[in-house]
Amino acid sequence: MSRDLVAVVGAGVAGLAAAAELAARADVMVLDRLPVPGGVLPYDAPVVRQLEDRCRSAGVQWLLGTTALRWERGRLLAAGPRGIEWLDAAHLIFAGGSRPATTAELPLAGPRLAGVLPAPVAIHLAEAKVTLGHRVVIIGTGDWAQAAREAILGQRSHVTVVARESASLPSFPHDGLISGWMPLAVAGAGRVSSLTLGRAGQQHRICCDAVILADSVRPLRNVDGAIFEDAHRVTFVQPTAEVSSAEEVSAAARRAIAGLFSGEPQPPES
Amino acid sequence: MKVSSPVGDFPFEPQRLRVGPGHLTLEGQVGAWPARVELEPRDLITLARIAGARAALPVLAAVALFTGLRRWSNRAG
Repeated sequence: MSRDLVAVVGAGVAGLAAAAELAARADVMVLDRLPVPGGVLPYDAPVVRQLEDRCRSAGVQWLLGTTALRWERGRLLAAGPRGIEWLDAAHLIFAGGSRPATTAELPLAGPRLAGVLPAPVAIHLAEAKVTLGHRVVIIGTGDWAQAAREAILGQRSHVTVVARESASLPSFPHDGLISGWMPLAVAGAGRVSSLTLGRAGQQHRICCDAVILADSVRPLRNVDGAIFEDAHRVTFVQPTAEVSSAEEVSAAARRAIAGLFSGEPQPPES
Repeated sequence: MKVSSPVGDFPFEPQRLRVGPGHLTLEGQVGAWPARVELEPRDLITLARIAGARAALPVLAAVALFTGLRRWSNRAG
């Protein structure tokens, strides 16, 4: 690959590590919708500061506070303080982070109801002092579930955790645990009032006024033209494991970039 | 300075203080975004009330300075 511009979308740990790795071999521009690097970590977290310093000393260019919208034939459409512009780039590294499974992916049947919230939204609301409910069900037991539980600790809610058959048991405090049951459907009139679980032909219904979707880790993809794994001239650098420390995410990003330049198949991210 | 929001904490870097008719404007950057804080005299009084008596003196001094600057600004304009 010649020294063309490589666009890195996402200034979290994975994006910063990828940019720092790339900078020796290409001109690199890092974009993020937030105005500071860090992603889900604070901008002043030591690991973020360290990676940011590495990027700056390697000459990485920044386009922060800017949302990447579309990737199309070597051009990236971005909207930010400079306006809406097309950036020419030879390659796109997408490091957009992760999200929990949606209702469609679980799958969880039923109408679209208030009170059924993806964990990141639930966490943001709880941190803004919004009470999510009095009988809260968290679907999942991993990082997202733990973060959601911690966010609602002060809300005096009764929290039930639903752990699917293969899931590990939660390591965080809860008021009730239902293990080995699959979430099947939500019901309610406007707002969720029950969650139906299933196991071996049996069904069990629990009353609730909030359901937090915190099961499994899926890559967050929100740039049109860079959604699918086979997207042209796109490399995805996104953690897919339930538990990923900053160091693991950083190492996986570096391996992905090394694989990109060696022409070898990229190792699976963990 | 640090500003908290539901999507995280951001740095606020003050760069310029402007005196306008009836308000002070603190201009700066929140990371890559330009940002400004507009303060009216009643905001300074509210700040003093919130902060308590310890802060009253510097805030009253700021109000006096602000009022003086506004009068000077009006005369100059």
